Amino acid sequence: MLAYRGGDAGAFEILYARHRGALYRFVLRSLKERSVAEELFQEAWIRVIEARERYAPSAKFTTWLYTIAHNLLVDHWRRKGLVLVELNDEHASPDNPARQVEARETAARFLQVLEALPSAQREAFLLHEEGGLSVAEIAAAAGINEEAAKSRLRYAVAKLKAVIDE
Amino acid sequence: MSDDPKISARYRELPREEPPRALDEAILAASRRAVEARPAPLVVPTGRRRWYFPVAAAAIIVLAVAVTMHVERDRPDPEAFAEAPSGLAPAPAAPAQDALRERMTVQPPKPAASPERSRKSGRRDSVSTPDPQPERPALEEKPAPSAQRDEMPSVQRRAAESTGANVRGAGAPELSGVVAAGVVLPPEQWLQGIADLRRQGRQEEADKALAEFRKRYPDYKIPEAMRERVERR
Repeated sequence: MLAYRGGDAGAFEILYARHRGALYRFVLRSLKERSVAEELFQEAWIRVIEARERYAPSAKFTTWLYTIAHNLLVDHWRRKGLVLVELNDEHASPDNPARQVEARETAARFLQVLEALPSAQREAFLLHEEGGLSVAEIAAAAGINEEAAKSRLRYAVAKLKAVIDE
Repeated sequence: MSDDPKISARYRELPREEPPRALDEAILAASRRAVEARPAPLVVPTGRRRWYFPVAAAAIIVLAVAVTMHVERDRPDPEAFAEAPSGLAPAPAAPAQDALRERMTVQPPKPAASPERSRKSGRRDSVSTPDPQPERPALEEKPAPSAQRDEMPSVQRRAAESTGANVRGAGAPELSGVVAAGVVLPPEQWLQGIADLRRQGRQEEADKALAEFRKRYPDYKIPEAMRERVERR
């Protein structure tokens, strides 16, 4: 990011390639509405571009990036309610139809529970899984204390674990 | 990543969605534009916000023009302001105003008022000051009653008080007072005053004034016609 701030456009491309998938999934699974998710995803990156002159490496870039995304999500949630998103299942294995069905059902069940989580718990889980943020970093990105972040993450994991153990 | 690896593994089994290619290209293009156009603007005008800047500039210009026009239109016209009180004065004079005007007519006319200015301020003065009087020589003005003496110029007032001759003749009080006060009049005016005194039968005062005149103007040759009028016969 510092290189990009200095005028190196190629540095941004590397940064973008590293984080694009995880951030996209984080936003998509938080919103469940693809078109809005894409708009917010783009907006998050535009804010990164705009803020390059003010960027200071006081925290991990990842934490900063997800803080921006979190703020955009909060703004969105304040304006609208949540809508379920239909996920693509293009990654299902094509060679075993039975396993394909089972895998799809398992994934659907897991997703169903994930989507049913309270938004704060889901966000904490996604920040942890997609962003790779620690509890302290989740707390920083979401603007909460570490105890609250740890609690949210623990509740989310416990509910998902219950699904797996069924 | 989660404390429970099974949760993470299960999550990893979920479809790994990626942003569309068009979205990637739009973001990367924006990043390149931002670097090329230095210094970076505070807000990059992309997509739906591209129209913000022209509209904001146009709004500022329209507002500035509107404020300027408003200020120009509301500025008071000095001419209109000068004429405005004339509309407030009633055209026909009420009896009370006539009495007031009667009292005020003894005030000395304002010396420096130009005709133009007198015309402009005429009606306003009709309430507080008299209308301009027909021009007449100062020595022929009506005698000022004692109540009106305060309105006289201070030199004339002092002269009138010193002689006590303030109600007897048209030009006499002024001449006597002015001479007594040591004011030097032009010879013609002085002689005319003396002639008036003679005509009114105030011979002693005329003699005194003539004597004073000769002291002030010892070389002045009095015209024959005037001499007959100013000398005691």
